[in-house]
Amino acid sequence: MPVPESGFPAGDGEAAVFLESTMPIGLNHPAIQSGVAPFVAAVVVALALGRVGRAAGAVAVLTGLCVTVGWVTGFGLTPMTATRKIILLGLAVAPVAVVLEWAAIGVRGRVALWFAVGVAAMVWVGWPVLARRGIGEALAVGLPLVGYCGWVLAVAGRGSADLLRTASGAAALGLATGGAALFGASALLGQLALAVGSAAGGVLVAHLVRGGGDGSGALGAAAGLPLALLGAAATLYAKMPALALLPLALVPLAPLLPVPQGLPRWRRAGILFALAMAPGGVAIFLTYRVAGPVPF
Amino acid sequence: MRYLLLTLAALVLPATALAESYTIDPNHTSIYFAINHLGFTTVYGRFDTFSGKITIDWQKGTGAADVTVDAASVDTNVAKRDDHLRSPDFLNAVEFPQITFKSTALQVGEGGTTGTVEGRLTINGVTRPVSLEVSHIHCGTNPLNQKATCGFDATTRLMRSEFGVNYGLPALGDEVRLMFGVEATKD
Repeated sequence: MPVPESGFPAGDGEAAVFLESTMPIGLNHPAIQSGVAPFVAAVVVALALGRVGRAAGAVAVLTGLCVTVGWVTGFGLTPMTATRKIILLGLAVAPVAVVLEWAAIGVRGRVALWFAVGVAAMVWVGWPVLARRGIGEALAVGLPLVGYCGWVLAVAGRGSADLLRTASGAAALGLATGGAALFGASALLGQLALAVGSAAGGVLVAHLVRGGGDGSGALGAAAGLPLALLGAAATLYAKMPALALLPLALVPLAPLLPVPQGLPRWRRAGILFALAMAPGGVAIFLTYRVAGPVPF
Repeated sequence: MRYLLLTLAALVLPATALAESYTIDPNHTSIYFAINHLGFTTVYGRFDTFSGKITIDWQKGTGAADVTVDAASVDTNVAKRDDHLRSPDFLNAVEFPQITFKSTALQVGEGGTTGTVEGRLTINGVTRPVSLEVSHIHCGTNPLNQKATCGFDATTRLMRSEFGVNYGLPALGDEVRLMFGVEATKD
């Protein structure tokens, strides 16, 4: 390996600045950027907007995502990479979902609409790569990915009458997708997914504290679209195995399982989250087995 | 008319005859990079797969260079780190499989052993101007294969954030040093 002529490490000026500015538990730590910060932001927003009802969850998830994006990647759109497309779609879906909440669209129509949106979004994100491949390979790789995105967004965007279910499912999907992406060698995709999951967790906590609120499809869609795209992107652009998408696709379904209504809300939330994390944990384990330990 | 054509040929042919074309020998060329890690040390890596052409007009001291590097060939001797470097966090090798350099100006110094190469480097889909300092230019006949060969070293520094590679700043250095050891065989 070559030795630098100066004898100093490359970029030593920057290194000195970094060492001077870093705190022991610095704000640069990924756990802060993708965990604590979006969680706190979502709790604050959800509590503040509690009276707004259906929009509160979606806006809180959007806020959490914005906090992490601003910290980790910035809001620049050039170059328009797949990751930036996902961020753009993740920022755009929340207001659209809020509007749809008040639109006179039945459940079936909403599910079909979100499925189509998920499919179209993944085509836009993955097209530059898939277009370079032969048509057979493009279909073999692309169809499962667009199907996954359409499915996750349709199920998540459907929402439920109980906000506990939607929020716990979104939090689990975020944690599972983020964990799998980290093992799949993309810290960036992992951090973005964990941020959405943390924000959904913040909405869940706010709901447990304040109560009330409608089980909102807007919350599900606001979290579901970026999480679906991040999971699919981690298989296409990083080392997460496509097989991990199978258990991940079950995560949004878990909160629909019957849980005794008589239980305290905190306990119901815990059970729902655990049910959703079961397939999520399988996805993380599968990725670990295929891709190996976290590389950073 | 014939006299005019001969005159034109006499003017043109010597110039084109001095513009020599070389193909980069991947077996004797190295492309390395160096970046600061957390302020503690410099981490080095290399790219294992690349190709390129260099054209030199020795009389004028000018030329051109065109190099293509396979982004996925990044090698830091740690497989998981290499996976990370190929991911959307850094080189985004699936979405942008090639790193390219196309010169806009190549100037050989008076002594013929140093020079500069100005050009446009494309990483992660972003193209930015860079300038390489060239040294130790040496040309001769390779005693093993009897082929006309030229070699040189080159270095440059760039800020990866200017190419949209922002992940890990400032913990992972923004400044990246590129180091080239090139051997090229005359076509």
